Amino acid sequence: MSQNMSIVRLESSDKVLFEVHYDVIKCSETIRKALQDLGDEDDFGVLPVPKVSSQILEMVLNWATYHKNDIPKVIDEDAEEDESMEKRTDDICAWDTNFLNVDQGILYEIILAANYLNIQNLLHTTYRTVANMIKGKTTEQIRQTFSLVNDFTPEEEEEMRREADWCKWD
Amino acid sequence: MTSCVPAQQDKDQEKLLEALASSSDEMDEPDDADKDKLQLIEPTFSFSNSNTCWVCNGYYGPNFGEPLCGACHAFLYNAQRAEELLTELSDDEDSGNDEPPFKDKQEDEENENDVDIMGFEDLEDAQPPAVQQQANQQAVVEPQEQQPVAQPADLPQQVPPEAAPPRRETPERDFEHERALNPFLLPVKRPRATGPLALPHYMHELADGRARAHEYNAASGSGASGSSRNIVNIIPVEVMLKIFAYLDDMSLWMASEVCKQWHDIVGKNTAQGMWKAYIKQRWPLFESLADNPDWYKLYGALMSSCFCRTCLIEMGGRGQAAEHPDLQLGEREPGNVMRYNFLRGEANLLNSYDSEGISAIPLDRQNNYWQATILGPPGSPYEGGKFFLFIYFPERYPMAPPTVRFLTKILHPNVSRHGDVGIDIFQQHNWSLALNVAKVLLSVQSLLTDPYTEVCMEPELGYIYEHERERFEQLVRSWTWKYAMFELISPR
Repeated sequence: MSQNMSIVRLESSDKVLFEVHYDVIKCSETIRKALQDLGDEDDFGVLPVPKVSSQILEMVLNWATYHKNDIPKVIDEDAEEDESMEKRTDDICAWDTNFLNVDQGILYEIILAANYLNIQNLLHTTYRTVANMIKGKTTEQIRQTFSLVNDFTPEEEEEMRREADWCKWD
Repeated sequence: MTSCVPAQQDKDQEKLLEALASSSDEMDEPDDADKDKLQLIEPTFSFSNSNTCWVCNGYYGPNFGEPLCGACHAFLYNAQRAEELLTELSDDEDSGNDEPPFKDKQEDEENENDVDIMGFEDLEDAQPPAVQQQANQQAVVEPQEQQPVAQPADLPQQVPPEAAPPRRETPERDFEHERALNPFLLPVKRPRATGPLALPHYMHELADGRARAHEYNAASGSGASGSSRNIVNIIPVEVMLKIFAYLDDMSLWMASEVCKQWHDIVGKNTAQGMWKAYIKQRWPLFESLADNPDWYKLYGALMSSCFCRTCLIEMGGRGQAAEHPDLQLGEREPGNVMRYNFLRGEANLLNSYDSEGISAIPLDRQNNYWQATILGPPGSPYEGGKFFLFIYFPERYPMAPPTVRFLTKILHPNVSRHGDVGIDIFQQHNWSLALNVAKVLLSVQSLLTDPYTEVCMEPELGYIYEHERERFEQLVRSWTWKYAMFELISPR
């Protein structure tokens, strides 16, 4: 790769420019593919990242910088299942826990950004974080955690209660 | 309006007098008044004050529709081993049938009652799935392992409606078939369950009640306003699916009850075979007599038929721990031969009690946690129901009594709204070596025929039993229909 290639310029949705080393952003499948498609040109201009705001992009790049030396995760969900490993959710590293200890809205945007940029490791971490927010809670607690409103109508609720249909049986 | 203030005051006073007069009338005839009120809520029954925690009256936090709030549950039904504590505390004068604490009492009384509860509760509470169920589960897992489980990242956003699992397939080919129809099915094998928050998490609340009340209020407030920024609107379905893949079966089911979108996601992307496998694991004594029931709904029905969801989630977590015998062996004192022999003998003995309508099986290799069932005795309003119970044998068993708790909702004066059974033999000083699992279950069964209302776990029910027997039986029958007959009648 050429010398210029080592610095990638990204433009967030709100037109903020980010200069980032290729080693950092190579975790993103989307960016890597885009760079490959652009080929070895010396000047390929600026890569737009239209779906990610500067605030989130900065966070994602922070994460990528911290994790740039991580061994790329070759095992994906297939491999995990093959090893009959459980999908553990309690092995999020401390830095990530701290990193994702943000407002829920921001967390969701990070998920969307990771989804768009296709950063597998970040996706896994965020999925596990959200799963941890659901696990071990009762329905009402989950609703409260995510500020969700119970949108079932009373009739649906009645049906959900799944009481035995003894009229039918009669 | 200002001109007629005196007239208004006069009117108000008149009204007040009227109200006083009528209220004193009611005092004279409490039965009539009660009856009128009660007939309105028939045939359903809900415990008074069930919208706040049964123990602390909401002092330590909201109860989210459960009998106890998280802090009280963690404190009274501690998941940690606390037997030494228990033996010290159970030496009080409590007969085990004392009234449960009432929220409208003064706080000092409440504290007293809390101690009482400690007395009759074995602080353990859990029930792992049977070890032998692993084999079953494995059988279902195998076909799935050959197939890719990962959903491609470019998964289409909308889930085709025809992808809903076929409802009437034979269980054996269920999963393969469903997978063929819907490639986005969540994996059958779920991760291990996580227990609910443990006591340390609630320490702050216990030290200073209502300490986090503002947080709860804030959360409920933002729920109404910030609906545009909530997870359902932001996170697309295919991402949600991947998140759900990290959930254990119980959390997944709990999530499916949260809102319509999640209900749809879970309903359309889980295999019937998965729910069947987990029913086997969580309720090993459950045998559906219906042909090809809807296992997902049956699972939901069984989950809903339990007194306390927090207990259920905790059971799920405990069960997984028992699957790793190495971990368990560490905390067990070796060579408790007497306990082992006792429990082995009791397991064998129980076979001869089949005709009595009781059964029980150990759920883990150490025989710590058992699941038992009692059939409603003939002639009682409980007839026809199969009631699930949870039994925990403490380390010191048979010197210490087991904990017995109803899992299935049952309406009985001596069964609390959390499922705890009030029989004196579960007290340390009333426990005898001559007793065993079968006798314990039989005495619970006979309690169903003859409630003991001198002291009740639920005085409210004791009153109805004593004074309005007909209504009591009607209510009990409707609860039995609703919660204890899923073997015969599968939910729609």
